[in-house]
Amino acid sequence: MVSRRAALSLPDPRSAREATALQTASRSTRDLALRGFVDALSFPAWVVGLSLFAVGSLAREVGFPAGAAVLSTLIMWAGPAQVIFFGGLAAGTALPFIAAAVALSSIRLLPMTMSVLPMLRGAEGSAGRSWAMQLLVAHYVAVTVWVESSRRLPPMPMEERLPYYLGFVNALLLVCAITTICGYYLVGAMPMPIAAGLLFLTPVFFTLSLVAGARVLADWLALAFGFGLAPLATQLVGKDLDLLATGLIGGSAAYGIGRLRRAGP
Amino acid sequence: MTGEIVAVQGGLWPYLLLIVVGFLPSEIWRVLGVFLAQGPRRARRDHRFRPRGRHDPARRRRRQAADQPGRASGPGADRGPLRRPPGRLRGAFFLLRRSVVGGILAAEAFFVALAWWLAPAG
Repeated sequence: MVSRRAALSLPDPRSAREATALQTASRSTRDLALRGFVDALSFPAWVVGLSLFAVGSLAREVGFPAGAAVLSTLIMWAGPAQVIFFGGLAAGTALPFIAAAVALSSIRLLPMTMSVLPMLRGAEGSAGRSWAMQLLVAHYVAVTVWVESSRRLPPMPMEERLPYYLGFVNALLLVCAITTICGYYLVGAMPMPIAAGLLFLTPVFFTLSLVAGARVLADWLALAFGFGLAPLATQLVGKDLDLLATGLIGGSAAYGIGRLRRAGP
Repeated sequence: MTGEIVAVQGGLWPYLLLIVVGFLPSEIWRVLGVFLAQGPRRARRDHRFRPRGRHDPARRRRRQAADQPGRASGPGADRGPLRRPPGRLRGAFFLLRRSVVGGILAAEAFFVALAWWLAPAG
């Protein structure tokens, strides 16, 4: 039996309200993603992007096609691992050793992923709780993403974080894909000192962001221990495990001292 | 078999190599992170990261307290006048913390100049 409202072809007010709410929600999601996109383009994307110039040039030197160079940025999404991968190929290193070196250099992604995910998961039943979304969010994790997420996400309401994060990271990826391909075709055209300077862009950005965001004693101690222990660890445990040892010892010591200081009188 | 030989073979080999030797060894840590981050089944709304920058309530309170008349403000103000670092040092530190862009430009200029200086002549 057809209702009178349907017979008169009037819109159902409840479904109209739902449609408006849906429209508003999708618009605000779009706005948040756009805001993340624009924020990334305002500065961080160019820092990461310029540092990936070298990856494009390395890929060309080992005879990889331009598509593989861009794909390396999109799927590996870790500058040091990409440099190790292409550098290992250029040096003629055996593939299992390259894979092991890439794996070792990427260990840092584990704690970063573990600290970024809780900021984005949201309540039960939200989009951030699905396995597919969590794997996507994890795939986007990199040093710059971790630093910027730790700084930008906590002040935002939980439901706004995921669209903002996705917009932000996709802008980073887009710029990095473009700069990788620029590096691929501009290899040799850039003076060596500028190319060398670009390699330092990410470490400098990372260090300054940590300094700008440091608040408590543990933050400052972690920075100081990192700088102080790194050369010592290189001498003692070798260049393969030096960063891991420095992070483990220096980070744990900084955390422990900070905690003792907070617990003290 | 070295990577160089595989890379020059062309075709789809570079892509396969990229996935097996580059993508999988790095992605495994992220996937492991997803599983390990599950932890206890609770919504971690109050995670260990505290708000920073101008949104930080503690910082806002400190600024409001510092804005009161007759009180020193800025880094180290709560440590008393005798233990505060000299003005020029404080200024440089303040600039560094305020402007990441300025810091990056200064550091990059330094590294490029250093590379230029160390580069072999000719």
